[in-house]
Formats: sequence, C-alpha cells, structure tokens
Amino acid sequence: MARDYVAFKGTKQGLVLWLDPQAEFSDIVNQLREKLSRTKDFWQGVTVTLKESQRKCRPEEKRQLEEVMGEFGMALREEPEEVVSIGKVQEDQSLMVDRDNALIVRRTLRSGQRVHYPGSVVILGDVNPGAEVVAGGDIIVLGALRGVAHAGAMGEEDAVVVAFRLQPTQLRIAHFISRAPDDADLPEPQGPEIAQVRNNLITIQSYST
Amino acid sequence: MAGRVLVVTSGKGGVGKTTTTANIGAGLALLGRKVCLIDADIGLRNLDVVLGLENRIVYDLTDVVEGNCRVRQALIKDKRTDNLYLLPAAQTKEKEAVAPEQMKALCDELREDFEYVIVDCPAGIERGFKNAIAGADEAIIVTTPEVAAVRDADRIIGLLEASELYEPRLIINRIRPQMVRKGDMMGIEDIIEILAIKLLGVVPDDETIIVSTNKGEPVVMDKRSRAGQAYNNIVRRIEGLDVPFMSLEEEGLLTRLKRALLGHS
Amino acid sequence: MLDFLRQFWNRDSDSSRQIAKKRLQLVLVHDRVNVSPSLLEALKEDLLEVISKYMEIEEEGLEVNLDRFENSVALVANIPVRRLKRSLEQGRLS
Repeated sequence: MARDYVAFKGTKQGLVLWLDPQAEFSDIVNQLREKLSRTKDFWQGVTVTLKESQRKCRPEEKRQLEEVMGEFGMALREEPEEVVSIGKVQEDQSLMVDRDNALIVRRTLRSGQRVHYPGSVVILGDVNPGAEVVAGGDIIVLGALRGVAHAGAMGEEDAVVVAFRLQPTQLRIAHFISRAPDDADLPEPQGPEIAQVRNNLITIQSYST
Repeated sequence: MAGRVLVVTSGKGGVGKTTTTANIGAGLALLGRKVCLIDADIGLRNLDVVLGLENRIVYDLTDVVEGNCRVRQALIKDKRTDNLYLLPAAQTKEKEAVAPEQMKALCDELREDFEYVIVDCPAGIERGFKNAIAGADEAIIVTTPEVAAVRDADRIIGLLEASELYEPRLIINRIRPQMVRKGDMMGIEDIIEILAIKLLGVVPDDETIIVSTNKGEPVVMDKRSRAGQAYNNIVRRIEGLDVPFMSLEEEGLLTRLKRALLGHS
Repeated sequence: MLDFLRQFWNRDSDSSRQIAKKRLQLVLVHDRVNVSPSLLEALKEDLLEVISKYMEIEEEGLEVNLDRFENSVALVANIPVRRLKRSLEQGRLS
C-alpha cells in the first residue's frame, strides 16, 4: 500500500474517521473496504465519527462511505459542530502525554488490580491475567506481561509495550487492538520483546539494543 | 421480539453456576436460539474464561452501565456458535458501580434483540445477587448434593420469593450415582423432598467437564459426554419440551452392546 | 474386610446419606423460621395470653426462641413469673 488515504483515530469523542484531503474519493472507498475486511469482526457495531475539518464530503460521498461501513456492521456519524472549537484545542493540550514522566510500580499486579497513569508505566514484577495497565505513554514490564496492556491510551500511536515475557491476554496501542491467536501453540518468548504499531498493525519483535 | 431473561444462581460458590450458565447458553444457541449471556460477577469474572473469550474483551458491563460504550460494542460473539454472545463483567472495577435498576434496564434492552438473556449470578446474597436477579423473569438454582449447598439453595429460594421470582427450577450438579447407591451421597429425591421445588435437570459428576473447561469449550457440544447430554436435556426442558430424566446408572456392558448392535438405546 | 462388612450392614440405617438428609432437615427448620420473625412474635402473644390466665408474668422479660439441640429442634421459652394466681378466674370456677 502506497499511502494511507483513510485512518481511524481514537479521540475523546470516540473513533474518528480521517480522510486524506488530496486523494481521489474512489481510492478512499477502496482502501476503506480493504482495511475493514482485514479486521472484519472487530468493527461489528462500532460507530465512527466522520472528521470533516480537512476534507469536506459531498452528500453522495457520505452515502457511499456509509454503505461500505454498513457492510461491516458499522455506523457513521457526522461530527457535531462544537467539536471544532477553541475548547477542543485546549482540551487536547491538557491531554498532552508526558512520556518522560514514568510511574514505577514495585510489585506484581494480580487479577483485578489495575494501574492507570497519564505518563509511562514501569512495572517491577509481573502483570497477571485479569490485571490491567493503561498508560498514556509506554509500558515497560520487568517481568511477565500476561494481562491487558494499553499503551498510548490517549491516542499516541508510537507508544510501545516492552516486557521480559510478552504473553498478554490483549494488547492495545492507541486505538489498535490485538489479542493472542486462539488455538495456536505459540512458542514461549525466549527473551524481552517489544510491541509497536507498524503499518496500522501491532507487531511484536524481540527487543535488543 | 421479547426474549426471556433467566438468572442462574446458587447462593453457595463453587457449585458450578458459571459452567451451567455457559452450557445452557451454548446449548440454546446450538438449537438456533439467539442467546446473550451476562456475567454479573463484577470483580471475579469467570464466564469469559469458561467460554474461551477472555482475550476479546474490550468493554464490559460497567462500561455499558456508565455509558462509556453502547451495549452492542461490549457484546462478544462466541467463536464457535453463531447465535451466542457474552457481555463480560468488569474485572478491575467496583461492584457498587452497577445498581439493580440499571441491570433491569439493560436486561430489557437486550431482550429486544435476543430470545434468551441468561445472567450468571455471583455467589452470596448481597449487591451482586440483587443486581443479577433484578431483570429476571425466571430463576434457575444450581446445587450439589452437599448439606451446605442445599441449605444455601433453600435460602436463595426464600429470597427469590421475596423478590417475586416464583417457581424457580433446580439443577442438581455433580451427582455421583455410585455414591448415592452406596448411601454415601444424598440422592435426587432427598434434595427435591427437602427443597420442594421443580427439578430442571441432573448433571452427573463428569471428568469431561474439567477437560472442556480447560479448553474453554462448553461440554454441551460434546455429544459423547454424559454431562453434555444432561445439559442438552436441560436446554430442551427450558424450551418447553417434555424430556424424560436420564437414568444415572452407569451403562452396563449389555446395554452398551445392545445399543451398538441395534443403533438405539 | 471388616470395614466393608460394617458398611454393608449400615447401608440403610445411618449411612452418611441419611445423616446428611436429617441434618439438613433440622437446619432448614431453623433457617426457615429465622426468616420470619413475625411468626415468633405471633406465637409470643398467644403464649402470653394463655399463660396470663394462670400466672402473672413479666411481659418485658418474655423470650421465645427456636433452638437446635443435637438431633432435634426445640421451642425454648423463658418466662419470668411474678406470682401464681391462687385460683382460676371467675368464669372458670363456676
């Protein structure tokens, strides 16, 4: 794929559909269908707000978008007026993530425990199944990550998750979600691994400096 | 469509409520019914693991109630059965976040889209119990042939009556026919006599349940398992069919042979 | 072997199944009554009425409870008596 004409972004208003202002509309529709079909089940029942601040859509174009999304069980919503206002800008700034500021948790997180922090989170212990770490920035686990981790929770797509043993129930980075495959007997990770978003997918690689 | 809302409850923990909920749900879905399971055990959720859906959870019951998402977004489709959905409980939130009126509204919303809404009730008789029964029209009580479990079942029957849920039906779980025969375990008649409620089904103690739970696969899908058969019968009784109670006696060699030769029992 | 025989003979009389059932029935008698204090209250008033015919009692000190002994449920009443009436009331004498 040469370029991204279409992107889904997680914001305070929920999922937002962004369209490239320069692209041909037919390319946008094609890419949208392709993207959605790659992760079919995930989109069922999701409502997305059409962001029109950069590209205005004609009514028939909107209908076309709606049609494609309807095929995947999604709904399209128009952006409410007040979202594009000065208040929004200020709000965004208050959500600025301070990734250099990290919370250090000196213990293992057990099922039902959860850590929420606007910056990055470092866990000196394990994150067990049923526990949850949500960070505005990166998540670093000096132990086994077996629960749910959400890095870049306010939309930072370049946030990463690093763990000595990366075996999460579910990984989320910004608005991307991935989970372990169902019946695969995955090889146990042999060393520290890093998860990050590449080409709109969460990818996992072994971590070496 | 106005579906039925059932609550599966027991009072005592560890008698097999969650397994029962999962199997009834999967069994009804296999019959083609549209089913939604609700895990009302906030903070100690299990239904997701029993169904093998734990890694799909994004939103949960508390998110729905608090308006962080819509019900449809929180529903997780089962990976094997087409008509089965799960609304998971929150694992990391407070029980108090949900109130009985909210549960009732949620059940009423779901029954518009589903033929069955089945609520898995937490153990105990506090807030979680009150939430779980708030939206239900019918109750299913699960017990095991133990003094403590039957006593708690009796207490629950009283509490259900006080909440105007009359005529709950009973599932006796983990019966061991051999022990009953030897006089080492209370039998079905003993328990029914004491509790004086209608019997919905009897599930034998069966190792296949443990195996299927390990795999995250309801045993009702396993046609060869006796527990699976028992759940199948229960599901058909819920559907209103008149299904005879299966004999708990172990099949003798002769009957088994006869079945193999003649193709019926 | 001896154990086996014993088990065999004991089968019907007091097998653990029967013990469990009996215990449960007793527990439930108690549980179910506990659930309705109004019943105990009614009983208390009736008792009071009957006993007052024969003796003068301290109404405030009256206690009525169900108690469970080893293998039975008993109604236990604690009724402080002020004094006995010498004779039955007029109506009864004639």
